Amino acid sequence: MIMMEKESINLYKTFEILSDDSLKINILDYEINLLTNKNIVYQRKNNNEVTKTIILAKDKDKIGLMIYPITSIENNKFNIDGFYLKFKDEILLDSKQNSEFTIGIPIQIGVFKIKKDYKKMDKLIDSFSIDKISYGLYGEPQKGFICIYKEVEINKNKYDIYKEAEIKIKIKNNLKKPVKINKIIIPMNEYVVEYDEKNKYNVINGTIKIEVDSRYDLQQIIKIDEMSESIELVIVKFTNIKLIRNGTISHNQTLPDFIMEHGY
Amino acid sequence: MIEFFSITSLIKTNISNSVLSEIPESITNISNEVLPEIPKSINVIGTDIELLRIVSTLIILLVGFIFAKLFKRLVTRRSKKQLPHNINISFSKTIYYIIIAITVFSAIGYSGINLSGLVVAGGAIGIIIGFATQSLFSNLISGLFLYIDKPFKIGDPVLITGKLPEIAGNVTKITSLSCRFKLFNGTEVRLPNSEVFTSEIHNFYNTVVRRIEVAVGVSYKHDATQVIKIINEIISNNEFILVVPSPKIYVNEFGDSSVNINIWFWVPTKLWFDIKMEILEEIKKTFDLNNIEIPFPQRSIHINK
Repeated sequence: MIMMEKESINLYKTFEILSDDSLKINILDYEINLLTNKNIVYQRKNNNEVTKTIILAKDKDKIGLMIYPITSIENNKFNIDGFYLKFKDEILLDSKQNSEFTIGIPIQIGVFKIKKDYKKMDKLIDSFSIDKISYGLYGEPQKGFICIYKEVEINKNKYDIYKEAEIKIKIKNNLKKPVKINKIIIPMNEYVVEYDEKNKYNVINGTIKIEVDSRYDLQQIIKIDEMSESIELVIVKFTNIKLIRNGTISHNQTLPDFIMEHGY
Repeated sequence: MIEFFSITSLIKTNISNSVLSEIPESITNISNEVLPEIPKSINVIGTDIELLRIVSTLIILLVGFIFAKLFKRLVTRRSKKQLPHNINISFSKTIYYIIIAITVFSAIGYSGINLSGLVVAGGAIGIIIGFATQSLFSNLISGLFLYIDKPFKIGDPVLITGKLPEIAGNVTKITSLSCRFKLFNGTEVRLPNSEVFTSEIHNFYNTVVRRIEVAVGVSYKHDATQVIKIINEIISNNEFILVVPSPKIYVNEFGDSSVNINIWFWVPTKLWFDIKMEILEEIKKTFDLNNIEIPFPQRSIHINK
């Protein structure tokens, strides 16, 4: 872990401990403060918008903040089921062909409360998006899924560390004819973003495997890799798994199958 | 003191003996004639029924009532997990009344009461009761169909239209006779099941997203394309308006006083009202800022002299 000087943070996996009366972190246009008066107040400012949370803690000298990317884009207004990633350019996959590419899925910046002694994430106290979030419906209005909508490019050279995390897609066309794919729906799942400090980018700890078996649906298997041991984190799990069309799924299932509907 | 008591008791005994001896024998005979013997049977609606049988009938009734009550309690407890609360209550009550009815008819049958005399009167009473309870049974049956059909469940936001004045609110209770709704204005309304069943029910909870449809008229002097562009900007600035399905903004008709533009967009159901409110306000504000006129109906009258 890297201890940062005050007012100088612009990288993830960095934390700062409240040492005197206040703590200030700047991320792009956002200013994050931890103020102590009678109470410890967490505050996030962006233009004129201010978000405040009062933290009730026993020992205020041991409180700190840690900034880290997260995939759990949540809001308290309605449930989000997944990511609706529309390819900017349509993909044509030849018959009996395997392919592998990367795309960037939207992330949020998570602000975690940390304890000085443990030097690890304690509780997610805030999260925000640098990009404006858009939502799209996948399926019918009655039974569909509300997803985070984003137009994506495949195999980008560089993914914006504040906006997206790279995820690997393996796709296989089992049909005798070529198929066109213009979107991919990824269920909101137990993905964990890891920040690669060396290469300065975010990566998702999983691979999405897609197999095209018929012209009417598309089998999608999401494989969650094991966490790399190098990162010492308390992982926030996202268990609002609903985006499953065939069969049932339990909250603990880590390898869900997902069938996309006709017109993938 | 002891002597005093013995004297008074002696006097009392002597007096009572002397009084009793003076009662004429005729009086004792009268009392024997007046007091009748305990009857062996009682006449009930023209039928002589033995006293023992009446007692047995009463015992049958008592046992029947106790059994009905215990059985009702058992059914309520057993079907607690299988049935919704209100249906469970109605179900156990129905079973209770069926047992009571069986008990009463069995008891009457056992007692030997001849009910043929009551048939004519019963027929007339039946017609009266039938008329009086027509709506009751109609509501009971509708309640049963509502349970089978399940157009809504407790907590669902619904709009009930049709015969009734429109009811818009959340379902708070469903019983065998009526449904209760907490209207969005905070008041509670009870509607008989028959009315609910035969009405048009819009349930807004069963849908993930809902479309908001707004119609706005702008003056003929404005460029419709420019107006559509301004509206589109308002729609795109609201993050909760879905990108897919995409919003539709189009000129719907050329009205008498205005060019009517339809604005259709989809939002998560839970935010339907909030976003509608926001967007309408934003449209008015933006139109005012851009001097876009929303005209009111006008008539030009030409008078020829």
